[in-house]
Amino acid sequence: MTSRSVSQPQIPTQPGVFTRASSGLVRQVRTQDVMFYGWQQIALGYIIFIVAAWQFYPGASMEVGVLLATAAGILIAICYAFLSVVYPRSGGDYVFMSRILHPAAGLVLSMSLIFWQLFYAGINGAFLSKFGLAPMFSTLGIQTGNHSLTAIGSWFTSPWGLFSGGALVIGVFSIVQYLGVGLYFKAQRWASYVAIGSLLVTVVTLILASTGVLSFQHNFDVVAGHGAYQGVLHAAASAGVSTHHSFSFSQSLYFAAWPAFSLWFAVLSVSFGGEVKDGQRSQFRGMNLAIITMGGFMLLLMFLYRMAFGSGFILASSQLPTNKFPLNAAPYVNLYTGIAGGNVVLTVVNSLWVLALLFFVGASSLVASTRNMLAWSLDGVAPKWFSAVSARRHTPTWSLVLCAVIATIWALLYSFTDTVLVLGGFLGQCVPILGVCVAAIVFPFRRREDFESSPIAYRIGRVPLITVVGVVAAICVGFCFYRLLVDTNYGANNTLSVVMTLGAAAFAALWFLVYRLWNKARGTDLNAQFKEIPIE
Amino acid sequence: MTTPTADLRSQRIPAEATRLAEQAEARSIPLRITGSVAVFVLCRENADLLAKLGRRPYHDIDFWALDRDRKRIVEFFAAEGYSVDPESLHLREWGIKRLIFEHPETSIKVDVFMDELVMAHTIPFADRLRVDSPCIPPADLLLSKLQIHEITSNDFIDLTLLLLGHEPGEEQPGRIGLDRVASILAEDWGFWYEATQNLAALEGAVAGYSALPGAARDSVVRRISALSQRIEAEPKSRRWRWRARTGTRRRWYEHVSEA
Repeated sequence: MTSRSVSQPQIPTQPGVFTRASSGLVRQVRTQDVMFYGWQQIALGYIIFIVAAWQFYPGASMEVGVLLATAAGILIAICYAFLSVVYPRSGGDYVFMSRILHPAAGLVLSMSLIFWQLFYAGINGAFLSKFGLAPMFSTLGIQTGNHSLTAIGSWFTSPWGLFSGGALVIGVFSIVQYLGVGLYFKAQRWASYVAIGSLLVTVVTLILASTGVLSFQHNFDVVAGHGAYQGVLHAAASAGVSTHHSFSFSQSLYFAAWPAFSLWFAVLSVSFGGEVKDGQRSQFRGMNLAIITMGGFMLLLMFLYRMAFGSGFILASSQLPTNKFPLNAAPYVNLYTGIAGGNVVLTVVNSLWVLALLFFVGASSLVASTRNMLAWSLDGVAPKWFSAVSARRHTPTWSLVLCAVIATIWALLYSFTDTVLVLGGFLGQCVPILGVCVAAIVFPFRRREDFESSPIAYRIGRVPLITVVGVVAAICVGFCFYRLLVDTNYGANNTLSVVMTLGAAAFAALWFLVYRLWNKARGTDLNAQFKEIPIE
Repeated sequence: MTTPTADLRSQRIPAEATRLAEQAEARSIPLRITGSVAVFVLCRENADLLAKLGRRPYHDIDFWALDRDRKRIVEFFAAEGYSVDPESLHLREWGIKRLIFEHPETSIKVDVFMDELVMAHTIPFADRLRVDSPCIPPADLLLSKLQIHEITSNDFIDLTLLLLGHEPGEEQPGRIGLDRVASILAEDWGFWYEATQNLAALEGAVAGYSALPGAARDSVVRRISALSQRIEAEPKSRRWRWRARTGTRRRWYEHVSEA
């Protein structure tokens, strides 16, 4: 097979008469798979620490913050989806940026993104322990009075407990991906069905708790001791914690970076752009549906959490020192949901969506990482073994091993040291997202012929739509990047995060330079390679 | 307009397809010819009609095979001088059971579908490869044409020849197995709808074939009618009836992209 140029000739047709050059092919990844992949990347389970971070933004409306992040996410998704239509290949964002901006920019930004995706592949497994398994076992232990279950819950927050979650996710999904991405998508589909069922049960539970059918305050007092609910509020007031603030739009805007950290990553479905059925529509629909549905659920849950548990109680409990909180568990909203349900079966069912989504989020990062590595290798800017596949299954081998090793190192660092912070990698991932927005802005001008012959050649007046959307999306991402730099609450501007962000970019730049020189020495014209979209 | 090289390749394709199927059979690999080439092989007595009706030359050979023989199929085609398309190997990772080969000298392209034909509609065939040889059974060949959503004039010509040369009835050599056709369509409303639409359109197309003798035209129309009646009479599955309620308000076929 030879490389195809970006503008592919259409088969001539006459009205009412179809023609077909060959047997054709039905791709296996559907719109719903793209949406489910977006759900996994979004990982709604992050809502647990997003709500916990609300305390840092006095006067912020969580719901307004989510709306702003969702709106920006849709604009970003339009940039990614449009470019994916033109460049439907594995490693999507790398392919667009290397072709539209510059090969070096493409590799540096893509390698930075993958560096941080592997970071999260590792620590998201630990999140499964910390935000999924630990609260579930703690709630069950509290509800049943079984101290062994509470101890299991505590163990999952210990270094070995955290690492076990990481190792489990990395191990299971390395094997699943080795067996075939088709299998991965089947597993993802079933996990998503479980997640949606469980989420609906959670919404019903919270509605019942909000309307007084279930009493959270009563149930909390039952498990934590008489008057414990009021005790939390009084303890917080005594400690000088204010839980009443008037609405502040600016604080809501600053808070928006937290849900953005979750919602924006649905766009990484472009990493398997070449395999999507009806690619032109599926990426667009799948990404946007993922952002809208999960943004909607996030907003609804936040509202119901406030109604069911009380805004003051959420703010008070998240700011109390551990020894002042009356339960032997972290004050997370999923713990409260379990308590509100007052039933062990409901507790398990209400935990399933957190477990299902947090179990897969690391896996979705592995998918994005191996696809990008494949694309680098096909372009000749990474070793051939990055694109090596199993002879039997044609699944990635060495790139998968490399990803698993790097992710495990991150899981170890997160579990056993205090150096790794949750949003530490958002700074480094904002830059590649910004890169795609810039690529969207300049695409109609730098690749005029490709734009004009593409199905995305829409215009507002004389200005290409993708440019307009790209500008607004870039402003949103740029603002988020600025906030990450100046707001210490995110933890993304600490020295380690900044050094790692710059270090990853510098390493990637050096890598590109070495490969460029190596290709030149072999007489390979790397520039010519980047004028075409890669074969797979 | 075709080039002399393309014409030559087109003429060689049926013989090459038969040779490959026989060679594979000798190595105990069931490899059955399908698609337009199978129509040519099965309807040789009426082959002169193809050109008269305006059928375009063949570009490739399609085979049906078993996924369990995949490795041996790759080795077989390599031994026959064909190069495997690396992109088709990559498809397997995504659960697509398909191999594509090309001969570097003759430029003949070969598509091998394994276990099932997944196109606008799906036809499972793993248990059908021992029914006939060197081509797939006429009933499956008919289904493989009727499942096409964006049907072409070449497909109508193929269907015309297939029906002209094969009486629908009980499954036996030279006949279109009505039970097979009806049972597959009774399971899947989308496929049933596509097939019945295509049969109706075929009747119209046949009426316009001036190169087709009147008796042949009548025979084809009669067979279309027999097929339609049998398809209609077959009891439909629960899944079929459930899907029928939605009808064409929901897309009933899969999009087929360029391979």
